[in-house]
Amino acid sequence: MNTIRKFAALALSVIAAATVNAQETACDLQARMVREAIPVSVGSPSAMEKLLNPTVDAQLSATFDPARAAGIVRDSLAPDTRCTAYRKGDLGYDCRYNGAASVLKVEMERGRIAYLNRTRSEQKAAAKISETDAIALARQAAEAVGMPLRELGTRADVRTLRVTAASEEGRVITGEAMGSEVHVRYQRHIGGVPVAFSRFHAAIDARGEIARMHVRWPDFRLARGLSAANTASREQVVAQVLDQLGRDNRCGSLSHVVANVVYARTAVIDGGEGASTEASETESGPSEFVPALMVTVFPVAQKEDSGVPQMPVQNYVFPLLRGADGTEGQ
Amino acid sequence: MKRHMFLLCAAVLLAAALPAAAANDREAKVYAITNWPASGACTGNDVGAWDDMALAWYDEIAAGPVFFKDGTWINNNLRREILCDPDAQSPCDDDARIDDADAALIAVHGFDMGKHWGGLLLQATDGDCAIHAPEGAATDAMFLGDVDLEFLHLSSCNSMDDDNINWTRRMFADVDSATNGARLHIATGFHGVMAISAGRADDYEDFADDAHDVSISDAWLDNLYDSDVSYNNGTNGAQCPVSFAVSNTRSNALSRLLGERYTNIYSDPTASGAFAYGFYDGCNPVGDDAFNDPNL
Repeated sequence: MNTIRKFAALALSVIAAATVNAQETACDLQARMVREAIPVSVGSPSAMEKLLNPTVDAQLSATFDPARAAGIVRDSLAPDTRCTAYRKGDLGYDCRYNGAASVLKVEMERGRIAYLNRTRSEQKAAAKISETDAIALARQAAEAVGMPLRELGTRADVRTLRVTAASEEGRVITGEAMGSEVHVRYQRHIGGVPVAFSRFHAAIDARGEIARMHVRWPDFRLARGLSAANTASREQVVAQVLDQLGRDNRCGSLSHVVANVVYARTAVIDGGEGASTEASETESGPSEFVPALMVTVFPVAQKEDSGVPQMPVQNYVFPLLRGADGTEGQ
Repeated sequence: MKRHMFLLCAAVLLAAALPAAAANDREAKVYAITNWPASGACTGNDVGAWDDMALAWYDEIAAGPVFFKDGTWINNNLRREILCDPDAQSPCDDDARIDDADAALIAVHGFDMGKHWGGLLLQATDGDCAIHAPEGAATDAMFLGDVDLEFLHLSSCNSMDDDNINWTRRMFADVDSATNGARLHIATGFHGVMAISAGRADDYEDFADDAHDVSISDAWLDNLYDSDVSYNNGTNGAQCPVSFAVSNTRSNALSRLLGERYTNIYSDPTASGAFAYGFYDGCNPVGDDAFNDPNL
């Protein structure tokens, strides 16, 4: 092998080693982001003890009142002929209340109540009510539907839905604002802990009437047999998170990671022993809750117009107790 | 030619169609990718819950009185041919695939390229792993509605970015549309980055359910908005849904956007030069600036 070949071979091996190191660095960085994001309370039996003993107010299935709901939306609604009679506490209650061009849908097992008024929704006006008035009406609506108000918290997300119409004339596109609604949303908290994927949302038209309302607020019941003695150690949780995220996300593809303790339905827990939907449904029911760790991975943002594939945000929900739904060790 | 005659007749019939369709005679389809193998030609992060979300929509739309399940294509070498228009490129088979449906949902990694959305597929065609929506470039491939499709839902990042909104309408027709009158009615997507989780399947289920009772636009905007994708302290970025309709005039496009639903399907738009869209003012997503309406 002459000197030039030797040099080339050496250069190639250096480049190869540098590539491996760069890859390791990106993977290490990703692992560090995960470790640093996980709250210090994870793995603590005393913190778990608090999570397993929240103060819970009366839940939607016990407090829902279809007459009050119809009153707050100022609509005349009649139960569909196929509905069974409403009984408080009936988690199996499933009914549509029909108006002239509106509907109130109730699926109590999912904690779902949806009011959809077609006439009000189709007549979006340019004017809109004030945010203060919208928040006040949204809270009145939440109370009227029967939601436990303490779980709403105080922080509302207020957004204006807008509609624009445009057209191209002589190669120039011009547009005009055609209407708007004010939307008020709340996330759910129990004892200050977020309840993942629950929501309350009211869309309010320019006349100050509720055009649509969405409640997804399943009755909060912790799964049976949960015990702080079964708290997974921090290292167990970290290992599980790293394993799952490492399998799904290429090293270097994430910009940051956010992790926080939540309550989540057993049906949406990712990974872990006994964590499959099947197991959850047979052991504890899909709408029972467990304390869990929500890990949200944020991708590296690609430059606008770059044509580089943009990875999405992903939310993972990991168990914090050994045996995802607490069935182990009962 | 025979197909064009058939489509012309179909378009005439559609133009006279009553809003409500007959029982479950309209086709729904899903195209989704959850795994991009590291060893493959086209790589991306895996997203195990994406098909949960897409299938939640699929199950629910078929639970209503109008649509039936006409097939899903999940992973399985999903490639450009399945989604592209034969009048634009070759090989392309959207006539028998996505454009044969009445409502379809595509769930793939997306990107913002120039003035259009592109989707990352599993197999490269002519060295390109992507399907491209049109903007007047050589890559233009995804023209829909010229055969049958009425409603397209893009569960994909950057699928309706504010800076691309004035080109979105080009996806709603192809060269055949001028003669057969067939065009896409409504498309929905996201400004910026979207979020994926098993827990978000309920959002897609409720969207499909609500779109039977109020407009597809309102159902999409209501159910797919999220103020904070991390459920943390409200500052980590939103998920910003956008809806879009076309027609020959602004008022007609607006009427479609606010009135068309799965149970109230209008005749095909007679043109796509005017358009209307719905969005949340200032919605600030992950990976992009807040939605800034380019036409106001």
